[in-house]
Parts: sequence; structure tokens; C-alpha cells
Amino acid sequence: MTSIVQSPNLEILAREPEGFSIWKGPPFNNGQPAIKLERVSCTVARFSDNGSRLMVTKNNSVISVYDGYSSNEIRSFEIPSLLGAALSPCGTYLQTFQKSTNPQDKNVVLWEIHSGASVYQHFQKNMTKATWPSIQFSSDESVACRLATNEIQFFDSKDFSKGFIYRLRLPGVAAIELSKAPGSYIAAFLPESKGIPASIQIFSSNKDAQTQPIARRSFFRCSTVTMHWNKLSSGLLVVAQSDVDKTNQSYYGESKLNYLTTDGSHEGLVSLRKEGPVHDVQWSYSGLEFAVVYGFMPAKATIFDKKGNPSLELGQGPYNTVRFNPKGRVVCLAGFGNLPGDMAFWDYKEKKLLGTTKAECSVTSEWSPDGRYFMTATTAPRLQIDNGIKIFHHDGSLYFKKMFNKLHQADWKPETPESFSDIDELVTAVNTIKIGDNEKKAQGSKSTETSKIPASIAQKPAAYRPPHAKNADSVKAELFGGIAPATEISKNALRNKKRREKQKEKKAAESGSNASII
Amino acid sequence: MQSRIRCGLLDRSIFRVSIIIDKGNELCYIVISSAAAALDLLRLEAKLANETWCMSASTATVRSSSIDLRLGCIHGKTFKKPRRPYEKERLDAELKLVGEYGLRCKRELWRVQYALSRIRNAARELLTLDEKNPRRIFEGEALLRRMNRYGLLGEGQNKLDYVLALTVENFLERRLQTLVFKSGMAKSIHHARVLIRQRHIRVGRQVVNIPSFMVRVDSAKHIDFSLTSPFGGGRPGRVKRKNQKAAAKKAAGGDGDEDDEE
Repeated sequence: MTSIVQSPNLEILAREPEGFSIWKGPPFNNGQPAIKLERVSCTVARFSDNGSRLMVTKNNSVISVYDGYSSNEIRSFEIPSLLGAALSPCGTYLQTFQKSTNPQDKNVVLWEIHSGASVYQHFQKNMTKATWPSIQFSSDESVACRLATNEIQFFDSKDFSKGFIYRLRLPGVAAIELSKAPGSYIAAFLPESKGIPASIQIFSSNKDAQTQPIARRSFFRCSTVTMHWNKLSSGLLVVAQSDVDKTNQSYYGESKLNYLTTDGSHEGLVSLRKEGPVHDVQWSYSGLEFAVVYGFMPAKATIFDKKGNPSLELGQGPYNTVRFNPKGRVVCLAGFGNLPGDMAFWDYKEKKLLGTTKAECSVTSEWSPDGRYFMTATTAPRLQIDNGIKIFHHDGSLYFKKMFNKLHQADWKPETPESFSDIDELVTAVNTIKIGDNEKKAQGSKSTETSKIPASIAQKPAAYRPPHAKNADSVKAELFGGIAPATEISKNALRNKKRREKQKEKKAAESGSNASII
Repeated sequence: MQSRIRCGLLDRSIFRVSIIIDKGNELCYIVISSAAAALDLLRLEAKLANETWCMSASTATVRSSSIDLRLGCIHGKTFKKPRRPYEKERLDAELKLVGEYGLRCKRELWRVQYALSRIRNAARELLTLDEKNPRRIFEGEALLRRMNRYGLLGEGQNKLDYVLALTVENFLERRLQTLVFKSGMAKSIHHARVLIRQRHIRVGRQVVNIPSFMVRVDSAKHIDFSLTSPFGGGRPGRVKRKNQKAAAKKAAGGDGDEDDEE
């Protein structure tokens, strides 16, 4: 988008076994991306949430922080026996986790990138997915908190040297999630114990308003929980999963979707019309609606409004992922992982299907920050062959495809969606698109697999015929529709038939001759 | 108008009465709804002689069974015992349902079967009437509305034939006990029954103590722990309070350390 000067360029980070490189993002000039940063050897490379800093881990003990726009190295940290590192959302701080043997050794360190000094350190025994990063920041870094045993500690994000300024005591708390933008609420999960159900409680981040939870929801039959805040911090979606399904319907356990609002208008289960696990749930970028893919396969997909009422049904199909477009309006339903990779693009304001396509064996999928492109990548630890990147337009036509020998990671550089203009051609094009009209797009695209049938029409599976039934007359009648082919008679039957005919002729001849004699 | 109306005393408080006069069949329906939302219907015969009466619609639903009102309270059987006592397949099937839905005895299952058979009889009888018969239209709509309201029929199924295809499992799935279990608020179906009976569950604002409460579709998302229950944010129960008091007393009377109880 070079026509508008202010809107930033899109960039793609691609990491291979030898290192990572940054490409200048679409639109590509002559079908190939221009390289912005040549290959730098590394093991981990990640942008901060607002795209201003890039953190690169090299050789397991050196972390370099690059500037996101100019790709120059700002600072480099030398940290022995490093196990994990994370950037804060605005790129101001870097958290590192080192291997530690004794509790005296404070192995989680928070560094300030600008000065290079460490501002806070504490001891944490081990690192799990739920407990890393230890210190959670809100999107503007105004609130910072940490989960400690039986309590949540809040810090002053400008000055970490004071330690924690206040804390919230919650005996038994196992997981927390700070609301991102704005950071005014914190959700805590207390697992089931002895007879008391598991519960999710939302508290305010303000010290004074922390005596009572703002909202709470209790349930049994839950072992892990994933929490999703929306952009305005007004609603929290909680997927409660349990490893054992007590209703005996699934081997893989069960999952339930709960929805809590901070104004108390809804505190309970989201009523899903189909039985089965919740495959994916995503908030839209405006924070006013969310999409859920649920049910045993073929799964149903529904978009709910912020009151928890269903606003649009997107039908059934082999889907387990949903991705909202950052500019609103378009949502992509896809079936990645163990599903064949069908993708359907819907316009949910106009309630129209824009296009369907296939992207087999994709591992990750993400919209570009300006909402015009959708990138799927097949990456290495999960799939060792067919690694590559595919970029689609917002209506499903393939734009770019590149295969790699081995690809570990492919990401967009994060930008705020507001810094890009609306997709004008999308607004006008939706009115002229008919479902299944893919000829125009197919001419320009390299894809040969754009399906012309909307995903809603499932093909009827052919009936299974056991081998001995192939020759049965009823089967033949079904296959040939009453017009029977010349039936092939076996050798013995043919011989018997000939013998009988000869005998008949002989009899006829004898009777004839008898008659003539008599 | 000459009419003979038989009256009786109802022992439920009445708060709304609607009168429907069906001129074509010379029937007069009086719909009495009581505070407990149970509707009674008296089908009376009124002799109408050469007068035009307007038909006023009722806002309450109408049950098609006719109740013969005697002086005194209404009392009828709610279940039917099976004809053959020791039939192996029936015993197995019943035991499976009792175990799956956590019922207390076979009678709870027979009660649901009896309710289902009455509904099916009503639907079958309505289906024998002519398609444009006003009674069929009126009572059929009412029956289908009730089935939709309780979640026994889906949205697209709004013909009387679907009522004939209902099964006992449809009814058992709508009990409060199964819904509490299915929504994840109880560890097992028996735990759900215990929670309901011990007054931990509310539907909307009302604490419901009855495991066989038929939950309507729009109340199903309002099933939650009650506000006074220890599971829903109230104070801890009697045993826990007693233990806390004893522990605090012991700690204070001991060497002065405070035990921090939750």
C-alpha cells in the first residue's frame, strides 16, 4: 500500500534452521518479496506485541534486541543457561528465565532494554505454559502483575525497584489473565479442591476496588482453562477443558465455553446448539462480537454478539479454526491440523460467503495487520515436508506461494490495524460477487485447487460394496440402471446350455422323425 | 342464553380467567390460570340459541384434556404400571434409563412415560380430525407451542407428526437434574440430584428444589448456583463454620499462633 504515505509497510519474518530473515511484505513488486534483513542466525525470533522491537536469541546465551522499523541492533544481553525470554508489549522490558538449582538464585530477571540494566528479579522453580511469562503487562504497560503462590502481586510499571506495591490474596489461584487494552481487570482461575467447584473470578486491577470480585462463575469438571479478553476489556471468554469426559461421549475429554462480562450482564455458559468440544473461539478486533467453532465434526460455526446471543450461523463443515480480519467484516473459517485444510471466507456484515479454497497441511494462519492478505504456513517441528508459505487475498484467491526446505516460523510484523486504511475494493466487490463465481480470480491466481462448490454442499459418500457383492444382480441393476449388459456365462454353464440345446434338437428331431414314420 | 355450568371449588388461588366461546362447536372454554402457572381447563357445554357471540382469544395455553370438576381437590394418577411385570427387555431398558438419568425409582420413569403417552394420544386424536377443523388448529398450535417451549421439539419441527415421534429420552433430557449435570455444574448425575435437593441451584432468581423440574428453553441459560450457597458466593456451610470456629479456638487457646483458615 504505497499510495498512502502514512500507513506502514507490511513485513514478514521467516525463520529457517539457519536463521531468520525479514521480507518486505505484500504487495510484491515482481512476484517475489524484497528482502529487508538478510539472514541472521538464531534459535528464537519474536516481535513485541506492537511491533516496535524484535527479540532474537542466538546460540542459547545471547539475546539481541533489534529495532522493529530500522532492523538495527539496539542492545545485546549475555545470559548463561537461558531457557526462555519474552518481550513486554511496548518493547520496554525483556524477561528472561534461566535454569536455576537453588532457591537463592533468582532466575527470572526483568531487564530494561533502554538502559540494559536489570530492574527486578525473583525465583521461579519451573516454567510451564500457564506460568510464562511470569510478569504480565497490559498493552500500554500501565499495569504489571505477577502470579505468586496464593496471591497476585501488582507492580508499578514505571519503577520496578519498589517491588510489588500491592497484592491480592487468593488462596489456591492457579492461572491469571490480565486484560490487555485497557488493563483494568484481572481474571483469576482457582481450580477445584475437595468439594468446592473450580471458579473464575474477575477483579479490578485497582487497589481500592479489590475486596469483592466483579464477576464470578463456578463449575465442576474442569482441569485447565484458557481465558480470552476482548479489546475493550468488557468481556471474558473462558474455555474450560477437562481431560476425562464424564458424559462418556468423547475420548479426548470435554470443553465448555463460559462468558463473563464486567458489567454483570452475562455470567454463564454460552448456549451452543451442537454437542461436542469447543474447537476455537476468537474475539473480533472491535471487541463487540466473537466467533465459536464447536461440535463433533462436521463442526458448526456461529458468531455471537456481546450479549451472548447468536447473531449469525456460518453453517457446518470440516472446520476447527476461525480468524477475524483486523479491519472487520471478513472472517476466515478453516480446518487445519488433522483436517484437510478447507478454508471459507465469509463477510459477516453482509452474511455472504466470499470464497472457498484449500490450503493443505497448514500449521499457522494469520491475517495481515491491514487485513488484505491471509498467510498460512507449514512449519517444521510439526510437519517436516512441504514446508512453505502461502498468501491469499481476502476472498480466498492465492496470491503468493513459496516452498522451503525447512521452515520453523512465519509471522507478520505486528501493527495496529488503525494505521491502515479500510479496504475500499472489498466494500464494492462484495456486492458484485456471486457464490461460486471464481473464473475471474482463477485467471490471475496460481492455484489449481480453488473449489467451485461452496463448502456447504458436502459430497455424498459412495456406498461401500463388499467384493463378493460386485456381481450381484441388484447392484448391477443400480449401477447400470436397468439396462443389463450381456451377461457373461461361466464355462460350465455355457457347456451345459449347449448340451441341453443339443438334446432338445435331438428330441425334436426324433419326435419329428417318429411323427414322420408313424 | 341458556347454559348449564357446573362449578366446583378449586384449592389453588386464581389470578386470571379468560373465557373463549367457540360458536361453531357450541363450546365454551373457561381458562383459569393459577399462581403456580398450572392451567386448568373446563370444557363446558353451553347451549347457545341464535345469538352471535364473538370469539375472544385467550392468552394462556390450553391443555386439551378435559377435567371433570368435583367438589374438592383435583387428584389423579400420574403413572401407569407396566402390564407384564417380569419382561426381560423392558426391565433392562428401564434400568439403563434409570441409571443414565439418575432417577430414584422406576416410578419416576413410568411417570414420564405416562405423560408422554397422554401427549401422544392427544396428538393422534387431533391428527384424525380434518385439517381445517378449528379445534385441531387451536389445540394443535397450543400443543406444539408447549413442546417448543420446553425444548422437546426443535425450531423447525412445528407439525403434529413430530409430536408422535417424541421419545422418553427427550423428556428426561429436559429435567433440571440432567441439565445441571450437562452444563458442568455437578461432578456426576447423582451429584446433580444432591445439589438440587440441598438447595444449591437456582433457575433465574428462584431456588429450585425439585430434580424433575422441566426446564424451559429460555430458562436454560439461567441455571446457576444460588447466591446463598457456598458454591455461589455465600457464606460457608454449617460444618465448615464449625470446623473453622474449633480451629480458631484451638489456635488461640494454644501457643498463640494464628492459623490462617480460608
